[in-house]
Amino acid sequence: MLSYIASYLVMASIYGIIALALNFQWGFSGLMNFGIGASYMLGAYSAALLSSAPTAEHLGGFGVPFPLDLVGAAIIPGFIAFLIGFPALKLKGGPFAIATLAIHEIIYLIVHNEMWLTNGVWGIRDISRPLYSQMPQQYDFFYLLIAGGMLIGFYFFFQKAVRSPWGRVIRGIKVDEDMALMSGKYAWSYKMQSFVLGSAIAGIAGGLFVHYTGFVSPTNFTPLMATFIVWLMVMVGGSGNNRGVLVGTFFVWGVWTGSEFLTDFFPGSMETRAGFMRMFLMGIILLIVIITRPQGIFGKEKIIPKYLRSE
Amino acid sequence: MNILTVDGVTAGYGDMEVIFDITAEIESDDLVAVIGPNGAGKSTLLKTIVGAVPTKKGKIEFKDQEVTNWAIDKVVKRGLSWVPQDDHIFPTLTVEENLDVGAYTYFGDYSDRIERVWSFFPQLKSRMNQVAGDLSGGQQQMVAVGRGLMTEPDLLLLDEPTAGLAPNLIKMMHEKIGDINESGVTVLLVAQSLETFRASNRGYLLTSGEIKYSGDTDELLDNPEVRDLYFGG
Amino acid sequence: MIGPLVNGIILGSIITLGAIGVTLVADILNFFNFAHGAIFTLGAYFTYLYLNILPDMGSMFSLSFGGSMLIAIVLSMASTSVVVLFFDKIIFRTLRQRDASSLFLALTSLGLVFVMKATISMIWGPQVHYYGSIQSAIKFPLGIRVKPDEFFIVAASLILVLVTYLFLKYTRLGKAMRATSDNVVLAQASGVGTEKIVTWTWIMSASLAALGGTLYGIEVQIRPTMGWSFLIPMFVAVIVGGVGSFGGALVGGMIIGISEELITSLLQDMFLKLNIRVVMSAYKPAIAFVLIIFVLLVRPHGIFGRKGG
Repeated sequence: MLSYIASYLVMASIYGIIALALNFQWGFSGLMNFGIGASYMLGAYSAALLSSAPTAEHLGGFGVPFPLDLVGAAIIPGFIAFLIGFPALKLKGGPFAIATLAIHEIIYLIVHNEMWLTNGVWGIRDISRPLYSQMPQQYDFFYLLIAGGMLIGFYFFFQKAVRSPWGRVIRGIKVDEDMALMSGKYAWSYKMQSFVLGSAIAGIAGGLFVHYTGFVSPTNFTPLMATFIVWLMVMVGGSGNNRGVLVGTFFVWGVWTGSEFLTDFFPGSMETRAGFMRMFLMGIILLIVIITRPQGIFGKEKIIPKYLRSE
Repeated sequence: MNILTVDGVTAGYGDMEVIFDITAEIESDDLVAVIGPNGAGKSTLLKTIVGAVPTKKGKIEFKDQEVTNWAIDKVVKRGLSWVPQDDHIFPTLTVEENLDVGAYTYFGDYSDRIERVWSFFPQLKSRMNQVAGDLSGGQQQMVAVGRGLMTEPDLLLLDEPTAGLAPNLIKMMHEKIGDINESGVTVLLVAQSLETFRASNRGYLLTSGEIKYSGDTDELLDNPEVRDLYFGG
Repeated sequence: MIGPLVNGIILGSIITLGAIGVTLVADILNFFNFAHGAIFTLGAYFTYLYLNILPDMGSMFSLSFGGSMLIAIVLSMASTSVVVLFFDKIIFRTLRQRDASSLFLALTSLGLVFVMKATISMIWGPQVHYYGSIQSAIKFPLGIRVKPDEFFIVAASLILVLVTYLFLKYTRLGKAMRATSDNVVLAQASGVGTEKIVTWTWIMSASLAALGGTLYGIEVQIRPTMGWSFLIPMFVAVIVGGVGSFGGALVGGMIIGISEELITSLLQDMFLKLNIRVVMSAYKPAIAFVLIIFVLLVRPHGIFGRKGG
């Protein structure tokens, strides 16, 4: 029983890191990134491939140990974000969201289809889990120290970053891009920094994920499981507020695992339906939050008002 | 008989208040000007009457019906028409389509109304299939006023109808406004220039959101303070 | 070359129907509706539902279906509109009254996607369905092979696009809609009630999506994720053509459809020659996306876009 709770906490911590990264991009920098799941996925697969032994099933054999491969898990999504940022950051709100969503789809397709690279749907097995052989029973608790520790670390990192002079510039860009007293070129550069940083950190979360489960496959990173659920966590807790985002993360992940628990009681014939019911539940929660309390649990009172008809 | 009564109205966007405790009465068939320095709230007053700006305090009565904070389209359907100062046309629609939309509330044959607009502004007739956004500023102004006439309103609110027009067009616009007024339409307009003010019967002078002076235009023009403050002597 | 071109026209017709719906909502309701793919899917399933209820009316010409399909399509368009108007009433109207930003509305529509996809999957199950029997293609000169149903698809799209265009251009309501998209306040000052415009915008958008979904179902299959894979091409078509531009949606849709087919076909041939094993057809949405990057670099507002659109 306790290890169930530990497991829940570990996954919530991992998602918490992604949520903090997304919140930094959206809540503080105003980037509506619908492709955060792609960074998470890239980080996960990078870590998996980097740390793996040579095998015919997929690209690998670099043998980079944990936690060193987390560096790769940060750099690769960060770099891809950097490349995408060049065209994508020219776009405003809606189209930017579409562009990031499209990137997510494309990366998902590549991971899903290119067997030589990732072993496709079959996934990658036997990913090394630090010290697992030493303590298979207490592994969840041990890993909780790692994941939870990193979550706390990133929380303080983001809190500091947001209050720093650099962070204030970034926040200013979100509030009113036209009024921010700098040229478009600089605004773009700050947005890029925010985009890359957030993507890299989401990638690290991906690395943490694979070393916890020891296994990864594309199904862990569908738009629902990797992007939408993170948005839900940010919105429920209150975007623009790091503490709120963590609360939102633990709440949403609690509902998700709780609903899995409940649907285990359903008869086998309803198993697939159960999956859809959980998906339905996630969507409904977002709609309810948006209609009744759009600022989330801890958020600021005002939603961003639409621009007056100068557009 | 008063077609419009504004009683103690304070209004503004969001938390801001732009006009304060405005009281005014417009009689039927009158031609009234609102004048004042930039930012005095003249446009806001017109917008408040039509419903584009929320009224925070006070009452507005139009044709003996209280219309305070009514939706814009509801007020318009009652017989009021408003030509704003900016964003006063539908730029992607043709000239004729602008007029068509102006007549939206009327289900019958409105070709006589269109002819009337052509008679007021002959230049528009030859351009009726041109996209309104491609016209010159002056022509767009004419389209804007023409659209406002299509409902055959009882009261017409005109916000700076001569702004950006060449001098000969300004004179023409004054004449047209006079013609419109004479055909039975009460006109309340925002004016910047002395000529427009002179062409009106009565006036209200607005500063910092409040009415400072009101009365017949002749009396106001005789008032030395008024002349100094608003027309440079 | 010709084969993919023909397929591209068929695909493009379907994308265009969706793109027009997206551009109408983006223009008048001011946000990109991420649930449009789900509406597309819903329309296909409604048609499936009605087709099974209605009596079999045989088949027309050499199509794989008959009059009952036409009736089912009309019923589907109506039902899909009703569902969409329901969602507008309980969700989007509240947000409009609160002056929510377009980003917020877009995020909300993403939530709606999961609600709709889950509901459809729960009712009809995750497996694929078909409207009718498989058809064989008619052979034309130049190696062109077209199924009779595919003529219907292109014709139906063409007709609906034309009807929509005429409606927007010449009817009182159509002009009012265009006026609202130009200048909401001025439209209201002309007596145009905004809620009515909103209602008709949704009806048009949903109906076109429902038809598009049905046509795709005729051409390929019906499955719960069908609309989602069209979302990117539809959005890209709108952005390429210019948001708010009807002609842009049409041109954009055809360009995306044709280039998806042509480019994947060319690349597939190339990879085959180089002995690289890649299944290019899976990457069709990616083509659309790469295209958008090129177009936006040259013309940031799209081919027909207006400034600030």
